[in-house]
Amino acid sequence: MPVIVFAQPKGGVGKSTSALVLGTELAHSGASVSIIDADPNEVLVEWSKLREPPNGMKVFGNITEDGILDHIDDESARAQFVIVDLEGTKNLKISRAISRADLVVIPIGASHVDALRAADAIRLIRTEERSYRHKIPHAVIFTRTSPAIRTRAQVAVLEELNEAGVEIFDAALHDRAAFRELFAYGGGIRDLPEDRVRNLPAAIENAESFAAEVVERLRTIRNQSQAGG
Amino acid sequence: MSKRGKLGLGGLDDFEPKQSERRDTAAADQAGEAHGFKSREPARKERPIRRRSKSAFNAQINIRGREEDIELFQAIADERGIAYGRLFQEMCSQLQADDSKS
Repeated sequence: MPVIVFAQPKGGVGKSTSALVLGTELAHSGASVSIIDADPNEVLVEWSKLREPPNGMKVFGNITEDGILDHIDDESARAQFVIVDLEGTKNLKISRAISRADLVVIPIGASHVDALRAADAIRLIRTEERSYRHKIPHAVIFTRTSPAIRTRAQVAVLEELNEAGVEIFDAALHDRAAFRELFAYGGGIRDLPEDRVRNLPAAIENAESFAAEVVERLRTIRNQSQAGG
Repeated sequence: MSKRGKLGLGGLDDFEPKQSERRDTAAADQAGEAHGFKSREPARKERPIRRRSKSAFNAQINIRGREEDIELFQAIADERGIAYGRLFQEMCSQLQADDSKS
């Protein structure tokens, strides 16, 4: 049921990669997952053609502005998790998808420009929260970070986000060869050939910790909304 | 509660498919508009109905003739202020009528 929307009006920040990492990890844990690829580039649709997606996972493409909400509604009634990937522009599908989101994940690289565009998304979320009189949980995740060090830029952006009261994932998706190779081989991280992909176990651990944190956040959100009525 | 880093197979059964709450799309669109999140799809315009000319003058022939005859033909059309097609029609009709008289 939870609808997880990956929204960031800047391109090239790892939206599709993080959406895919989450989706394949959830499917690996036995969940039914529907991925709605609403980015006209349809990289996730392309990915699904490389190799049969994991059991329980379905990928939908050809999503129009008028059709996106029907797709989300249909799939949330059918699958345990719905993941929506969107184009990295300021587009109407983002604002529409947010209206259905149980959690909005905003990926950013460790750069000020990425943070500025993330702020655009967060302002939109806050306006929709006011319109719907309903909390739309959202959090920023750092992507393409170094597993070894936290750069000065990353620390600066982190401070900016903290000052603005923005939630940030503890997990970060590191710049790992395995995440790029997903789009060459198809399948999930665990399906990648260990002998061809550098440091695969570290990437698996990274993917797992991100997915686990998403699940944890979704459980907290659900418990809070149940407690709040 | 799941432990960080361990999703565990079959550990997600507490998430069930459920109809998401439908909310008014107009509010999302307005919020989007206010922050510059705009439609990226070409506006669907009503296709204008093409009115095809009802004119019967839509066939064409290419006649190789003498230059002076062509000039005369053009001059007659100009003099009468009619299109070549009309003049051609009138000439043919006239010839036919003349033939039937004789």
